[in-house]
This record gives sequence, structure tokens and C-alpha cells, in this order.
Amino acid sequence: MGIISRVPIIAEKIPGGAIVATSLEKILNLSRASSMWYLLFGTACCAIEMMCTGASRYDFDRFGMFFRASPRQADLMFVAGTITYKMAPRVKRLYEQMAEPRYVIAMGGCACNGGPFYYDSYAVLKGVDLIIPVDVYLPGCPPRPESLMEACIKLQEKIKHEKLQDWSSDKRG
Amino acid sequence: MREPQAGYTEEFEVNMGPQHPSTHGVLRLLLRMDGEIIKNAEPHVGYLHRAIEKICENRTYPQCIPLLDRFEYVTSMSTEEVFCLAAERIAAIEVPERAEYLRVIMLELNRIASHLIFLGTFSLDLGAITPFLYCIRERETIMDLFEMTCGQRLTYNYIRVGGVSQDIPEQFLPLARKFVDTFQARVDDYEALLTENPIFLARTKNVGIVNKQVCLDYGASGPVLRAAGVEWDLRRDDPYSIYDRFKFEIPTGTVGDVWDRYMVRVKELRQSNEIVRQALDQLPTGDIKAKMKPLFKPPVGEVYARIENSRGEMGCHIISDGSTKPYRLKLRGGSFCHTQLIPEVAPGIMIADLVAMFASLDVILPEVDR
Amino acid sequence: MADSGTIIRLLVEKFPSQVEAIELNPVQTAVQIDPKIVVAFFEYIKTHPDLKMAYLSSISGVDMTTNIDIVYFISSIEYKHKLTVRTKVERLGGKIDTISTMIKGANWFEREIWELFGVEFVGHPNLTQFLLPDDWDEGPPMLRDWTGRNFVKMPEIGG
Repeated sequence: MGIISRVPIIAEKIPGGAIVATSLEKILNLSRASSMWYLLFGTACCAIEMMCTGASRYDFDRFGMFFRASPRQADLMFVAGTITYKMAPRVKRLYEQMAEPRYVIAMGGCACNGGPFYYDSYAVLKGVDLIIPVDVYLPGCPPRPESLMEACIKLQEKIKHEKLQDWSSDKRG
Repeated sequence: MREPQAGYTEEFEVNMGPQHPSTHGVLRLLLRMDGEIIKNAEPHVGYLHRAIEKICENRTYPQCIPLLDRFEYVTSMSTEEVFCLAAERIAAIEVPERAEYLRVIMLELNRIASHLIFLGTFSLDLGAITPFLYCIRERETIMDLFEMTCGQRLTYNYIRVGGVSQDIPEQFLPLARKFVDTFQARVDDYEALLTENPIFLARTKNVGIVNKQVCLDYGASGPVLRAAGVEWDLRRDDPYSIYDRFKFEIPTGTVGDVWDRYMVRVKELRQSNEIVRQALDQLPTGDIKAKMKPLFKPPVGEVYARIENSRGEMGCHIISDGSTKPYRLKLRGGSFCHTQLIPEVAPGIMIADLVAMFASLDVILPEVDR
Repeated sequence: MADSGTIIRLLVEKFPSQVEAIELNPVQTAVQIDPKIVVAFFEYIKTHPDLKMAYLSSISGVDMTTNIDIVYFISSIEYKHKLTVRTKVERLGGKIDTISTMIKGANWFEREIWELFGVEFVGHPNLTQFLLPDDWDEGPPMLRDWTGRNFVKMPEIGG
């Protein structure tokens, strides 16, 4: 996809060409943000709230979000639940199996920094950002479905501000 | 005419890994397969071992309760109840009447919510998506009831040592009565979708049979044991709280297959509804918490308390050394024994049947891993 | 249903010097046994016609700083009575016979006590890594004086 990241540079040289670059940017970002398919991955209590958010009353489908079981077909991973040292290598492997562009929302206190299991526990990883890069942190134990939808909307806004120059690189490293 | 040639086959290992839509949590099953037939299934657990028991040794009794909520998060009220029951038995505290009735109402509503999640995820595993959406719609009403009482949808911190933490608000009773009156018709709806459906019957009748002797050997409890034909319910056989004041039946199955476990839970939905109706009718006025000192310091003692959870027997072993923190706290959930049934039942069946059987055991991994 | 006194009398008669009744708070039927007779004891209470206790609820390990206690909770489905059985093993390197060949449900309970407390169950079919990560090398973590690399102790708040 190196061609698309060169579009702004080429468009600058043509008079009035910048508008092509920004319109293309807007359309591509909008299409990415409106159809995020998330990976069904939940370990603990936050997984039940994630399931409830995807079901009746709070519906994820109206955002264009639908669950996929395989990481190859997903764009977004909710890390919902406590991550232990035994589970950490598997989470990293799941993240690496997802195709770019990929985003991560750390849902709940346990994924943000260890949560109620920070003190006195010998087996809990104190925050999932120690192993994978996180885009949105969502505190709560467990966070309400409305909070989860707010986090998704924030992620959509973050995506809509992305630049075309960064299209071909995974800028989060 | 050509004769069929004998082919060369080989067994291979497949990993039904920690991330899988049908393992209900982080369970890893190492399957040894011969084509589609399973030769051996070995469960690997420990992906959610959070050392709750070690943490609780360094927390006071009221501080342990929110942690124990996270131990069995689908029925948090049961975990709090078993812990408070054990602590009250050591310290010989008597809980007031109104608190007992409120506890029973919350416990039975929680049992209904848990069975609704079972029904939803069980049918999702078999490929039917509609019952899941219907069950979550009912569950949302129960979550509204809990939220107006204690402020939380999932992990409540409501049942305390000596009673409950808050009284119910005025809007609780009309909404609860409306729920109880309409719920029987809803259960009829779910049964109309699933029970006589020929595809459902073909996938669940005579599949994954766990018979009576295997259940008793492994210490299985709850709906798994009742589906095998043993009429054992701790609310009647090892009574606790005020369950002897309510009339309810104990449904049992005959063979112990997936269909029996499903039917036992559907009938339990109706029975729990009846218990909530009777409790709402008999609810007295009074205190909601026993008079205790502000700092709870039980005498030296040791007790094992057990209650009937929606998944089986939930037990709590507390050893107290006279201080404000428990010396040893050990929890036991029904899923711990049920996961051991997999290597016993799996050989000889296909993967699709294993998925149906495992979903019908209704296992929650934190009960296994703690 | 046999009452508490009858159960204890039957057990003490069969194993005179190795079983004794103990008193706990709250009052319950409880005995302390010698660890060497553990298999014979559970065989007896499973097959005796007045006891018939074969439904194992739980086995827990307790670190009492001088030794490790193992506590069994067993009950009967026919008669609805229950029993608490306590026994002691050494703290570091203790051994006791396994009952998992007789009561299959004890398998995972004993495996967990082996992993978290370090007690070896002689004759157990599968004492392998269970709850802890595969590369765990810091010793049995549930002992009271254990500390490890990633263990953050909660600070005392106030006074």
C-alpha cells in the first residue's frame, strides 16, 4: 500500500490537488471506522458485559461492529478480563495474528493496570500494555455497556484523525 | 468391480486453544483425533489463576467480599452468601428475618440470570442465535432490579456478614412482581424454539451421557447430578438460610445426556420463579443487618459451608485465628469437578458432540482456576 | 442417618490409636487421623453399611507454619451426614498416600495441593503443572513466608 501513502506528496505538486488527498483521507478513514469487526476474546467478568453489549438493548451492530471468532478476520481486540502470566504469550500471539490495521481497547481495570489483583497476587500481569500497544483505556470494574460504547466512539474519532502518510506503516510499532 | 482400498490413517493432535468461541472462557483442550473421532481429550487449565486465596489472607472480612464477587461473576450473590454463611457460623451471628428474605430473593433472581446465560450460550454453541438475544432481554430486567438496589450490574458487594448492605427501594417491588408474572410465558417461548426442534433433538438426545456412577465418583453436583437421576439438592438436603419455608420441586432427569441437563435447567427456571413469588409475598419488615461491632473479629474456629449454586455445590472453607483477617480461605466451585468429566466422556465422540456436551456442563473457568 | 456420636464411635473402634475425635467451633463431626492410614480409612467409610460416605466435597491444604494440614470434607448421599477429616504432614517434602484411585474426584484437588504447597501424593497418576505457568521456578507459592519476583505486597493504610 505504498502508493496510497505517496498520494499526498504527489497531490501537492498539482495545483488544487490537496483537496483530492484530504477527501480520499476522509473517505478511507470513515470506511475504516464504521465497520470494525471485533475479536471474541474475553477472559473474565468484563467478557460478560461485552457479550451483553453485543446483544439486545445495547446493540453493537448499529455501529457496524460484529464479532468474529478468528483473529485473521478481526480489526479490533477488546482485552476484556484479567491477563495472567500464563495467558500473556497467547495474547501477544493473537495480537500478532491480527492483520493491520489493528486496534486494541483495554477494557476494565484488570487490563488497564492489574485492577483489584495488583497487590498480593503472584500470577497477574499488571496491565496489558506491558505486552501489546493499547489505543483506548477503559476503566471500570466492570465498565457499563454505555462506557464500552463510549470507548468505541472515541476509537472511531481517533481513526478519523489518521493521516494518509501513515497508511502503510504500523505506526504503533 | 473395484474393491475399496484400505487407506493409511494417522492420529493427530489438535489444540482447542485458550481463545475459542465455544470454550466459555480460557480453557485449553488438547485433543488426540482419529479423523473426526476423538481418542483422548486433556484439559489444561490455569490461564485465569489470579491467586484470590492468597490475596484474601491479607484482607479483612468485609474487604474479601468484592474479591470473591470476581471469583464467580455470573452468580456473585452465591459467592457472597457462602462466605457470609461460613463467617456467621464461626461467630454464631443470627441474621434478621427481612435480611434473610432479601438474600433469598437476590439469590434466586441470580440463579435465573445464570440459567438464562446458560441457555443463550448453549444455543449459540449449537448454532441458534435467536434464543441468546431473547434470554439477554430478560436478563436485562433482572440487572435493572439489581442496579436499583446495590448500584452494580454484575459484581454486587451486597450480601455482608450479618445481613445485607442496603434495603430495597420503593420501585423494586412493582418491577419484581411484573417480572415474576410475565416470566413463565417467556420460558414457554424459549421452549417453543428449542425443546421439540428436530435438529436440537438430534444434537442433544443420547449425546455426552454422564451416568450416575461417574457423577458420584467425581463429586459432580447441581444440575449435572440431577440430570443423571440423583435427587440431591443442598437447599433441601443440607438446609441453610430459610429455604425450608418455600415450596418448590426438584426436577431430575433419567439418562444424563445433554438433553436432560438442558431440561433440568429449564424446569429450574420455573421453580426459581415460584420461590421469588413466594418470598415477595412473605417479605416482612424489620432490620436488614444484625447488631455487630464495627470491626468484625470472629473467634478461633474452622468451618466448611456449602450452598446450592446454579452450577452445583459451592463451598467455602474458612479457618479463623481470632484476628480480623481469615487465616485460610479456600473456595470450591461445581465447575472444578465437572471439568474433570471431560477425559471420561470424550473418547469415541465427535468434536461437535464435545462442544454440545461441554456447553451443557455449564462450566465457568474462574471456579476452576481461582 | 447415623448421628455424630455413632459415626465417631464406629471410626474409633476400627482404628483405635490412629483416629481421635476433635472439637471445632462451630460444632461439627470431625476427626484427626494418622496420615499412614488414610487409604484404609476412606475405604472403610465408603463401604461400611451405616456410613456409606463416598461423596467428596473438597480437600484443602493449610500451612500451619510448623507443618501442613490436609483437610478432607466428605459426605453421604444416602444418609445425608457429613464428616471433616484432618491430618498432618511435614512442611517441606511431606508425603502422603493418594486416595484418587479410590475416589476419582480427588485427582485435581490433590494436584492443586501438590503444586501450591509442595506436598507429594504417592501413587498419584498425574502430578504435573496445573494452575501455575509452565516455566514457574519460584517454589510453592501458598506457603505463608513465600515471596517472589512480581509480588507486590499491599501497604498498610492509616494505623
